[in-house]
Amino acid sequence: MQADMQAKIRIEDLTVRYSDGTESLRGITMELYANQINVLFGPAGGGKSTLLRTLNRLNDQADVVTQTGRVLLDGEDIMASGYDVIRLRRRVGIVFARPVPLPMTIYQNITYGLELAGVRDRQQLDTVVKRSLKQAALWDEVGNRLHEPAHALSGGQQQRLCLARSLALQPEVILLDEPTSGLDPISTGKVEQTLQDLKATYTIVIVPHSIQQAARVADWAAFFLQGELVECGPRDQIFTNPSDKRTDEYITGRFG
Amino acid sequence: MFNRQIAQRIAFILISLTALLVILPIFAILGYIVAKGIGAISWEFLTSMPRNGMKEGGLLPAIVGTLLLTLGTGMIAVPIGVGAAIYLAEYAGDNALTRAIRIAIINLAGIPSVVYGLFGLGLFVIFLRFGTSILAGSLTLGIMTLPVIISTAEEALRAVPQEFRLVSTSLGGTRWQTIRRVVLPQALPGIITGIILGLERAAGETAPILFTVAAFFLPRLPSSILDQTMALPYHLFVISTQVPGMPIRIQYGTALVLLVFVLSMNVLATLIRRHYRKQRVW
Amino acid sequence: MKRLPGLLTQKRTVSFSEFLIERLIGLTGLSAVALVIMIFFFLIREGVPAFFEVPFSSLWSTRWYPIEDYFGLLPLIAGSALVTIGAAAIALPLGLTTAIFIAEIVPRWAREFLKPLVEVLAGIPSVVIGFMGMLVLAPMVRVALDIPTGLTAFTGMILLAWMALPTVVSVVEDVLDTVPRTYRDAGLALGMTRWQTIWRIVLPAGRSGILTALMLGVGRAIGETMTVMMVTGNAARMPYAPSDFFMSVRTMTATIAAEMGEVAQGSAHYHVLFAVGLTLFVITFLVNIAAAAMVFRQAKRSERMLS
Repeated sequence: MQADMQAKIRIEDLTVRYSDGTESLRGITMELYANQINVLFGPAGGGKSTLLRTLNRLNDQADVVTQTGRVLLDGEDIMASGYDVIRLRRRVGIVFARPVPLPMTIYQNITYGLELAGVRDRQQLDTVVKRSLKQAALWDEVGNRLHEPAHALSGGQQQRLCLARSLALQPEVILLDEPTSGLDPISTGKVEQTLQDLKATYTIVIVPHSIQQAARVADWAAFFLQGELVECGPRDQIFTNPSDKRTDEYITGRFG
Repeated sequence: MFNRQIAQRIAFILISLTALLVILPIFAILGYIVAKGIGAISWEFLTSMPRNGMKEGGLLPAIVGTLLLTLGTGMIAVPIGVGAAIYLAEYAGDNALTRAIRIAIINLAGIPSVVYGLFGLGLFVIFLRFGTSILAGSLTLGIMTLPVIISTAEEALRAVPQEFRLVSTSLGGTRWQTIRRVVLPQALPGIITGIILGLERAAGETAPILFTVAAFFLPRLPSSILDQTMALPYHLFVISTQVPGMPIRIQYGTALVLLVFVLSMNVLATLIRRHYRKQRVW
Repeated sequence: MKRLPGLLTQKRTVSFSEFLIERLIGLTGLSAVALVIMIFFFLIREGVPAFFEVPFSSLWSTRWYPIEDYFGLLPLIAGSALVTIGAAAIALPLGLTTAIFIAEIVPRWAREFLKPLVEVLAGIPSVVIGFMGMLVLAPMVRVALDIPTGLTAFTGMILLAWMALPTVVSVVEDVLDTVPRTYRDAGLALGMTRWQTIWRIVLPAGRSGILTALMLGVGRAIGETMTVMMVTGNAARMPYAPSDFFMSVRTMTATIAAEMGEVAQGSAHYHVLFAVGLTLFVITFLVNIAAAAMVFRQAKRSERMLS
């Protein structure tokens, strides 16, 4: 473990239950580190997506029954009542498993979040669009057709557009929920490479779509099983020398 | 096996025959009215005042009256109806209040049009002292049209994929920003279709305007919303049942004008729906 | 990488205008409830005095002759009931067959054309249908049955049934659509013909939906005004025998429409007409609640089946 690792998010005893009881988290305590790719992995239904969506309070609209514990972003509890959720979501961006371009042009997709926040200056927006698309490694492909409808892009391009859309808001944390699950290997490679480039600036939290991807991209990894955090640690420790038997069994393919 | 095939054939033939019994008269009515009424249509018929006890002249005040009433109905029913649809589709929780609203809408949709007329008479004409006026008639028709607009608009809003809302929220959009910038634009064609179908129904109604606005014979154009006016459906009723010796040609001509007025709205709604369904990306 | 300065400085994220808009939307959401209550209130306000001004024995009699203060409601209620039940009896089989015809028998291109056509029928103003009924159907009925006038309950029933069809057809179609594909496939796989599958599997599975369609059709028919007023002859006489199908009747709706324009505001006659309206309101209220409850139960059951 590097000594200079700085905790961006601290989760303390977080418990989440849905009304149908299917997916829940129990007593999660962990840290997520700045300038690292933090990987949350484990079999489906383990609560990884729920945790991700707790980090920018997207669960607010789902039918969550109980939600206890604290989530500290730079030391500030984002679960506190009266916390400005809208600002939180600008600081913590998310990319979903299925790319969902909004029914607008490429350009409008990227400026959407900024315009909601009241940014109107055309020059500023132009700059942001270019920068975000470059960061998401999409500029070369779409830079000359920004005003075409976004849904005309290919699946891989759409997913990178969604990433660029999140980056446009200059968030501090980027959450990715199986961002490459629907993509071909080449597109997946591009997205993974992008993440490596981005971690210099951002805190990245990703739920990978396979153990292989987890092992490929992780700096820091956390293994979730049925709503519980089994263990977490640096990649080399988790993937080569896990301390819990269940982690070992999952990694070596004995279940999941 | 053989018997079952014969049974199927007989059943299908019988069903087809009875279905044609229903469908053919639709053509028959439309065709008959066009054939009998087209001869009465002229520029003068559409743009002049009725004369000589309505037995001569044109339909101008009735056409203008129906236009005004349709417009007034829209001004009442569209903001309230679309607002209520937004509430139901985007804000309402699963609770007793929402159920009460749904039951209320179902009942509004089922209230006989003549009862709306009574209500309009009691509330707008008498209690609020609007008199028999375009205002009272528009309000009555507007309320009658509400359930149609609410239901169709809500359906259109619900058809917009949930993912768009999630994405917008995740980018820092408030609920209203999400509705205004993503959901409403996507639902708009469906909402407009619903509005047109609602107004189509209002334009053709007679019973709700009987005691709230309609004038038997008023050969001038209304000058304020507190004036009475003639209206096409009521006019057709009057000249076909209340005026002896009315030339049959004028009756069919009036029916044709009303039918074209109403059904062109129907066609417009269908065209809008087709056009946007093709363009839709989801 | 450095952050652009001044991009996201806006402090308040939910503005006041937004707060206002959301309150307004909430208010419009309540409008439907408020309106139903208001309609009920005004019908009661203007209608209930009738029960104090007119003795019950007069209301509960068979003579409706308001000019001489005879306010017997029975012939009106019987007239409405006769026409409505007759219309429903005709509309149900016709609606069923038409829906099956459109959904199951005709090829796809014809369906794309027939569905809008049935919607067009729903768009034809009732006064136009009444007009055609008077001029075309009534003479046909008179000649065919050799009776003195074609303006009869029977004529009204036919037209009402026809007008209720779009409602019945669209509900039945929805029902046929929701019967799970696997049911049909199972039937066909067992060697049943398409007709046997429809008759033995699809229709029974959609039974409650078909009942809903019937009730909604009844709700429409009982409230229909102009058509009935124009083609049923409007004689306020009590129907007694089956042959009265072919006589004139007068419905509650037609009575209101025909007489409200002529009465003095605040008179007993005025209040009685509102009382008739109140009765109609209550009847349609109950019918629609019942239909909605049935739809609700059905939805619940299909949820159970899916989960």
